[in-house]
Amino acid sequence: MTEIFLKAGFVLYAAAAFFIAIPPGVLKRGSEKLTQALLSSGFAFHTCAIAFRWHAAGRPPFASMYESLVLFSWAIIAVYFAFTFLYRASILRVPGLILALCLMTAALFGDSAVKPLVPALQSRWIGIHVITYFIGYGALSLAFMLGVLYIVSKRRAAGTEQLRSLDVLMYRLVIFGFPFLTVGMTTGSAWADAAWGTYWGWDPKETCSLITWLVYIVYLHMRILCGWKDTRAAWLCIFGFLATLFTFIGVNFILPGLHSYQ
Amino acid sequence: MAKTHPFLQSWRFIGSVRIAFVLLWIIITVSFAGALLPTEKQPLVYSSVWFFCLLGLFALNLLVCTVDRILFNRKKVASILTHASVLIILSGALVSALFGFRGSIELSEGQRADSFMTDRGVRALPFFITLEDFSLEWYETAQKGYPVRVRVEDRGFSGQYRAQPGVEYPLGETGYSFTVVDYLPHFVFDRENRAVSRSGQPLNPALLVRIKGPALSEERWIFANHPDIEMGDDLNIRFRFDLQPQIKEYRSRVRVDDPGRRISFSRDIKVNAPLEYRGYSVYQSRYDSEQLSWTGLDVVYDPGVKIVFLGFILMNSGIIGILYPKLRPRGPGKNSNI
Repeated sequence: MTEIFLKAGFVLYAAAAFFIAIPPGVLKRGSEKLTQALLSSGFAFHTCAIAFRWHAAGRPPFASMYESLVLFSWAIIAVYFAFTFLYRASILRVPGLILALCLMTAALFGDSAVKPLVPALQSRWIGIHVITYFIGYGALSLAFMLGVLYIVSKRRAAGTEQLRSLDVLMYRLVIFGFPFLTVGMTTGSAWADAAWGTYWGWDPKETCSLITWLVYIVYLHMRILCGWKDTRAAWLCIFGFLATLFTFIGVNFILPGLHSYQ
Repeated sequence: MAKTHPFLQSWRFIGSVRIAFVLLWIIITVSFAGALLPTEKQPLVYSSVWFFCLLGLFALNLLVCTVDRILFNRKKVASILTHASVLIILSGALVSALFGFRGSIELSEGQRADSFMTDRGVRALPFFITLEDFSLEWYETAQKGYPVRVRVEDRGFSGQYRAQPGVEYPLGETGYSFTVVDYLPHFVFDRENRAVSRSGQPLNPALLVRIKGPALSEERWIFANHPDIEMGDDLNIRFRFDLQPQIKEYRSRVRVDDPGRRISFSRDIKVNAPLEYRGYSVYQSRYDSEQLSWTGLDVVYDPGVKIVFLGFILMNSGIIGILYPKLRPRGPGKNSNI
């Protein structure tokens, strides 16, 4: 059931992306509403996929790489909707869809078997730790895409209102995502204390999550106190997300530790 | 313009965001370098004096910045709270490092301990701990049948089955069929060379399959842990037993006796559910699948952990207090239709 709902979500997102890719003027009026309807229904199916998986597995479905990718892509679209509601930030639609479709493709080609949880993962902390982290990741991945867009379009649009809005939106995505990252990191620490009796053990995953958190601390201080609203801020956002990606995936392959059961 | 007093100048410099910027990048770089080291060499970084000094400098920067805000900029409550919370976390970590210790206890069923082993020798516990029972639980992996892969070499046939015991599975047009006859979770040969299960634990899962072929019929044992061992007369047909038993839970039932306080109770200790008593936490850590009446427990005494968690709560509240008011839709970017 999960697979069917996930595929339906994927197809609806892809259809929305198709309508966005059509140059303006080609389609009649109403295509904007159609795109939004496709995205919303895709998101509804995506949410159902997670709910069904949760029900079928009898536990929060956040343990395997497949489940993580499904949740990560869901979080990106969820943040997009939150920002559309708050700021009508339609610019996030394209980067959000690109990221979500890539992650969902990886999930659909991955191993979707429901795996039983090893004892260390059977904890009440798993829900809040993983969900908050992925909502944070969702916002920061969108900030990363805007950072890239900022760098790419800097020469063409230097000094324009568009570039300024891009920076403001990137900043807002970080201030939205960062508290989620903090809750994720601190609940992870509480979980480690409950499981192993060490709230901080310098396990590679823990260290990299701290590094990621510190990079965004640097960004926020520089942006708020030192007025970094230019290329430097964009580069920090890009670097921060690369650190995030390394923490999420890279560590598992390069620096195995306590989290290597993933 | 009035000239700033040199003390205030130095004070502001020590607590400045520039110093924080430099220190944070050093901490980031050093932490990453430490993560690249092999696990056994990581304490050379994270437990070194110079790393403590680096964190100490960062704490000083934070302290000055926080005191400065308390003295001159009290309106920034959330900011003061957040910076102070990091100091609380660092002091909790310092208390853990100075006054905390950890060690281990190994117990067999019925055995009692009043001490535990640490890196620096034996330490006394202020209570007795007795292992009443140890249990190991496995996930039921063969619910939908036993996972079996079959290959018939000369016909290029291969298939995967969830085989139910007693059911005959024909293998396409090959003329072969197989039936699962018996399953032993912990296969061994007894003294009379008979196949028996030493225990109910799936430590050496084996399946007895009956093969009917065009030339002959036979019975053959196949092993999940030893796919290369396959003894049979007709090796034109090969099997793989893909059972991967996974541990669901292991728990130690212990009794705590505290004669001084006349307290005595029994508790289960599981992964993620330690026993907490008189400032000590006892964690389920190890077991021996060959000797299931034995358990390995970790004992932790850490007076810093509560301070750190208080810091976590304050830090989360402070960060939300600083950042989320900034999300209010106003000013440029409200309708960022770009």
